[in-house]
Amino acid sequence: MLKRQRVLPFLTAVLGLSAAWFGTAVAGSGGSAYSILGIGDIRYAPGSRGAGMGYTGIGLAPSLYINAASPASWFRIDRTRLEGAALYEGFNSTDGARSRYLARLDFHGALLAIPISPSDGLVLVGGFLPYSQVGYDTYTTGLYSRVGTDTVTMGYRLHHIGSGGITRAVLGASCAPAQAFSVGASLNYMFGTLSRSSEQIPVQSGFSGGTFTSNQSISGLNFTTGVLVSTLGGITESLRPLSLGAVVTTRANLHTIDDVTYDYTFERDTSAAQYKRIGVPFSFGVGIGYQASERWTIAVDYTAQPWSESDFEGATPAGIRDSYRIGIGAERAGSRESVAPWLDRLSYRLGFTFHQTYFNPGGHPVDEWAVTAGMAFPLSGESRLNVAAEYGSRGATEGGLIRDRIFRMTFSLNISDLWFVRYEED
Amino acid sequence: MTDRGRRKTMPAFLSACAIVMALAAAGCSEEPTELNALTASLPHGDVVVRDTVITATGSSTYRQFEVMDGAINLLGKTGNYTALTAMNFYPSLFPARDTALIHSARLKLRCITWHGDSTGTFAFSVHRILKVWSQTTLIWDSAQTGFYESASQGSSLTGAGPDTQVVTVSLDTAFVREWFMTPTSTDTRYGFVLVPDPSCTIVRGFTAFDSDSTHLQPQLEIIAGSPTGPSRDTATYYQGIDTFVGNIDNLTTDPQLLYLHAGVGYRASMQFDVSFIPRGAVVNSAELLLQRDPVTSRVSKFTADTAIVAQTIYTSAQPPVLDIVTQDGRRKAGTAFTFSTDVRRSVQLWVHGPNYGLALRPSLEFEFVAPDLLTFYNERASDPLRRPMLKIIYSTPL
Repeated sequence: MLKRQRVLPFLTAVLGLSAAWFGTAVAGSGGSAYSILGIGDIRYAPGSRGAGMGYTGIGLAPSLYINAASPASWFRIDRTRLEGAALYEGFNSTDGARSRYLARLDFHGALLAIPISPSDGLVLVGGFLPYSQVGYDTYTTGLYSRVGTDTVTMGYRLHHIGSGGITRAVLGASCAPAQAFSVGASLNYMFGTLSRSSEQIPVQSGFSGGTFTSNQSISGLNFTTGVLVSTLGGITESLRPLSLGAVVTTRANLHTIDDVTYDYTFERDTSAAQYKRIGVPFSFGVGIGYQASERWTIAVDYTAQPWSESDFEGATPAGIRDSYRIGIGAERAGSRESVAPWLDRLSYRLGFTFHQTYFNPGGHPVDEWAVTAGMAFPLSGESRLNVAAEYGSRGATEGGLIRDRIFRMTFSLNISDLWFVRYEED
Repeated sequence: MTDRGRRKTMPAFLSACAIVMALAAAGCSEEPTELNALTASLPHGDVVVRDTVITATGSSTYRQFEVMDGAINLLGKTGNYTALTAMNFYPSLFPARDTALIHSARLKLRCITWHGDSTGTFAFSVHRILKVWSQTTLIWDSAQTGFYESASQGSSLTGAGPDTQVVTVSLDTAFVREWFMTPTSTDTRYGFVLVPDPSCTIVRGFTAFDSDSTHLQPQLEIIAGSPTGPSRDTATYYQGIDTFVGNIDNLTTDPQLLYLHAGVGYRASMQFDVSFIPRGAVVNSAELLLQRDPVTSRVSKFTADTAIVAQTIYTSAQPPVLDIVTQDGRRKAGTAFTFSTDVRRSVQLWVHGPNYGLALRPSLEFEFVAPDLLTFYNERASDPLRRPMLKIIYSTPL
């Protein structure tokens, strides 16, 4: 018979993940208008802990979480862990004249970590993480007129809708060849479909409209590798609280299958599939962690991706540029003493991040900043319910663009169990 | 609550809170609409709209004998046009009276239209039908040699008469008596066909069995009696099947014209080359313009609306297979003889391909009830302005 403490977390996990999927189904069609550019909004998903700490984590090696920021950080995981997340994302967007609030709830990834040999830091991790998301819904207008003996005027609206995204399937491992040094690597299979449609809606009667829908199925591989020096105490004792990590993700050559579906009033047509490719540039990041005390941790991360080297069928598309992100965050970990007051067992996080996004429409850079906060609630044993909230801003109305006020909340459930270890009472 | 109790209940409580918060927050979202849509200089994509006028690349008139089965049956001759009417009162309605004497049998037809010479002669004879037939399958070809007996079972000769005239014809009593015989396995009661005489110079239209008023339906009044006594009974029958078939030969005499003849099945096919429109384009509008020839067209006063119908041709077979969807064309407002038809559907289908052209036929409202003729100039018309034109506006993604 399984112990009650082991059943409850898994039941909660199933409930939470189900809610995440259900939320995806009921969520609105929210998203950023900027996701029309490139391959959409690039997701950075280090996990709920990192999201609450200003999107940091490359230089940290938690044992209670599966840190997606760096595969080298997994070496401290000493029991099987499952972490699933959902992301609520709301955009209060304005063009200076009108504003609207669109939000959606999405599945935000799930990872499973299985320690193979904890003494060697050998941990196997697999799962799914979001990589990009397209979600826009807007209108433009047009007018066609011919003046002469036979005057023709046709006004029309174009309803533009973008949806879909790219998901990253991750399979990787970490190991620690030395006590304070670990390495990790993962194979990332990126896949998904980006759909962009424009529906022409004539204003006057007597004209027919139609919808052009471009569907792009994407798949491809890249690799991520990371190193982590979990303490610099080997150099000098004063540097013992410091940790240092770095991560590199290789360039991904994504194969795409493009087709266009035409929906008319009377019929439907689909173009022949075209095989193309997208070169997603490599990315890298470095992070520093500082263990100020047993329960206080501070982290700083820097990640960058030179999108100017991207290759969309031989050319870098207009409207994108190199991106980078800087994050700083702190955490006060909850007490793990069973007799500690409940509020003292909660973890508290705070952070700030600045993101130079790769959006650069018409030469107008779109930068994003956000303050973040998070909490971790102990559920049972080493299981945690994590909540991270973030408020930020992106872009500006100058240059005919849009300013997004962004509110994100990440919910994740982190559960653990001792697999392959027999309980005496079992 | 004690700290121990809080630890027990808090996980479930927090999970529930997180789920409720997430769903509630998602529910706060507005729906994206045109009213709250934002304007931004982003590469949303646009369409290119173009318009063009093209003329037909080919056309022809073809005859396709059609099943008429309309609400009006035509009978008679006018010019080269001939119409026959086939009728059969339901045999099951006649009682089996093998010894009954038929004293008289009169067929009454309620006229409703006429076509041709209003002062002409309306003369026809009645002939026994020799084959099984149906009002939903009988066409001109199948109503010729061998379909009916040459011997007449009755005849009528009248003038044109008023529009609502009731034409009465006496049927041969021996012929009618056969309908009261006990049915056998070799029953041959197929009814009769009304055939215009050579002297007939008018076509009359009379209401069919399908009429919703019994007093307008064809009626058969029979006076029968006992072979041994003086008693007589009068019975009236007004249920059965009927249809007419019509034909006109040597119709297409002018190579510059297309002929649409109702009451027969003369139709036209027409081709336009739209291969210059890229596949995937949205056909916003497509207007087919035809010029009617008022001199050769022949429309009776009973035809309220000289409309035509255009249908996409689906195959290269002859006669062509037509799209079930019809596109109505009518005289364009402000013009005397220009017919306008919205053929967006056809052009959109052609852009996708294949393109077998367009079929033109008289409006369904009079194709099966009147011998009207509409003629239109084709692409060989000497006056270029009279040639069929197709005005197209289409959009392609930029």
